[in-house]
Formats: sequence, structure tokens, C-alpha cells
Amino acid sequence: MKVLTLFVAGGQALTSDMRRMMEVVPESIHDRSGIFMGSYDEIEKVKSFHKK
Amino acid sequence: MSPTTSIHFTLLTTTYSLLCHALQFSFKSIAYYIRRATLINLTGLAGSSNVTGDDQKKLDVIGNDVFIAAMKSSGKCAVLVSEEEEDLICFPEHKGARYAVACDPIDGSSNLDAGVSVGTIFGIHKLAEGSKGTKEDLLRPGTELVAAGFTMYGASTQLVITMKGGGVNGFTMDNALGEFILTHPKMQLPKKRAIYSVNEGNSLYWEDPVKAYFESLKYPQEGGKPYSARYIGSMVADAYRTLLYGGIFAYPADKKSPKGKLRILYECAPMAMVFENGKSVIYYKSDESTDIVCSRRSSAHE
Repeated sequence: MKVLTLFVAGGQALTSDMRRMMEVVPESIHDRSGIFMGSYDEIEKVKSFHKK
Repeated sequence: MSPTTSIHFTLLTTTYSLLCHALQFSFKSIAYYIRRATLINLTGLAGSSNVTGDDQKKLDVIGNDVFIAAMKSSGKCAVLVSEEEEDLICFPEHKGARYAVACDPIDGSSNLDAGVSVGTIFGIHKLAEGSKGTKEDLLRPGTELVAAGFTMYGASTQLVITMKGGGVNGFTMDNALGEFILTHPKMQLPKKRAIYSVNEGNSLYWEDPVKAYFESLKYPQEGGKPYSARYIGSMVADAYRTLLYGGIFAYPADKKSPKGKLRILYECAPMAMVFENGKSVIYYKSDESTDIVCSRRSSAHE
């Protein structure tokens, strides 16, 4: 029997310091952040440039 | 499901759908005013400025008033944050209200007079157990959002909404019916696409990794094709295109704005939720361990 592993993911959204945007707790109601968001592969590329 | 949980569930969903009705009403009203703005002298400045220090447009003021009125009359919103209001707005008169809403009624309003697409962005939180609706109900991470999305007032009015743990659905406003029709069910963000969207006018202020990244898109290694640039300058419109076609949208923090420019509560977090929930199968592994890219949308275009 053939086993298939599916990898399901959406896009990604990160802050300027490469944290997951969704996990950021704002300090004030009008708090700001830098953002990178888009296709999965494109954001992986952004991450690779921030690791260098 | 026990009878009590089922009653509880029904009550919750009724509450939620009433809130959604009020949201839809505000989108329809804002769309109506935007589309008539030039005819009824609603273009230009209102003569005031908001929290951000932005000059308020007449439509900013109207959009904000419409949104607040809709949330208030829904009776289901306990507390509200608007881009146009310095403080949060509480509705203590609605005892049964269990939701906290953050919104930017007209995002990208500096584009309005030029007829460029603008939008409304919103995020919905549930009040904490026992809370009557305070700032703390909104100072939560995006992972706790119950629902989020945006409406874009473009060539057509498009509503995109996602719920916690769910998919992303897109609706188009049918002006004759006055209803949002489901036209983009289960939206899936393409796995990759050679489009970048960023305000390059700020590149002087960018940090080195950001500069290096965008350089690599424009000057790819030998044999590679450079990316296309698409920047409308209206976050909702740039995000909507990225959602449909793929690519990247960025507004990095830089030396001029070390904290970034976009707002977490009613710009970044709701968009992040939409993007993360636009899930598709991006590859699968068979037992022979061969990776096969099978993102349906991206492969169709390549």
C-alpha cells in the first residue's frame, strides 16, 4: 500500500523580526508592527535572508 | 451534545450572525457613500486629524460613524476599537454583548479622491469570561481571534472573511440584490508567485536583510527571471491581489519607523489570519519520498 503524506499550509505572515504575526500581543490598541505576508515559499525566502 | 450545550451553541451562533449582519450593513453603507462621494461633495478633507495624525477625509468621518452606529445597534458588540478613535468605545448598555471588535473603517483613505480601491479591515474577539468589555479583551494575539477579514471597495465590492480554525471565503456584492454572494469559496493562497509589493520609496531606510532580499528578487541569479512589482499603496487592495495571485506584500519596520507603520489590531492581525487560513495542499510525499509540488493554483499558471 502506498502511503501519502499531505503537507497542507496557507500563506505566512511575519513581523520584521521574523516572529509569527498571529502570536504578537499588542501593547496598546493602536500599536504598530512591521509585516511580511504572502505565499508560503516567498516568506520562506524572506526568512532565509534574515538568517544570514 | 447535551441539551444545554446545544442551546448555548444556538445562542452563540445567533449572537454571532447578528454581529455579522451589522458588519455587512456597515460595508454596504460605506460602499454606497464611496461610490457616490464625488457626486455629493464627499471628497476632500474634513478639517480634522485622527490619532495617527493623518488628516481625516470627509469619508473617514462618515465611515467611522457608520461603523460605530452599526456595532452599537447590533447590541452584540461590547467594545470597539477604530483607527479613527484614540480611545476604545464601550457599549455598557448592551448587557448580553460578548464581542470585541477592532476595525479600520476606511483603510487607504489617502487614495480616495483618486478613485483607488480602499477597504474596511476588521477583527473580532470574544470577551474573556466575566469581562464586561475592556482594553484587555482586545490586547490579545491574533491566534485568539474568533473571525477576521476585510471588504475591498474596488471595481466591485469584495468581502473576505475567515473564522477560527476555518477556511477563507470571498463574497461579491450584488448591487441589485443588496447582498454579498459567495463567489470565492475556500480561497487558497498560491504556494509561490513572482510578484512583490512594497513601498520601495522607503528603501533608503531599510535594514540590510530587507534590502538584500528585495535586491535578490530584482536581480536574480543567472538564468532566473526577475519578479514583477505591484504596489497600489492601499493595503486591502495589495493584500487581496496577493491572496488571489500569490507573491509577497511587505511593510517592513525601518530606520525611520522602527516599530513599522501598519497597526496590529486592525491591519496586521486580521490579514495574517486570512493569509494563514487560505490553506492548500502545498506538497505531498509518497512512500518513495518523492516531493511533488501540487499546489493547484500555482501549477496552473506555470
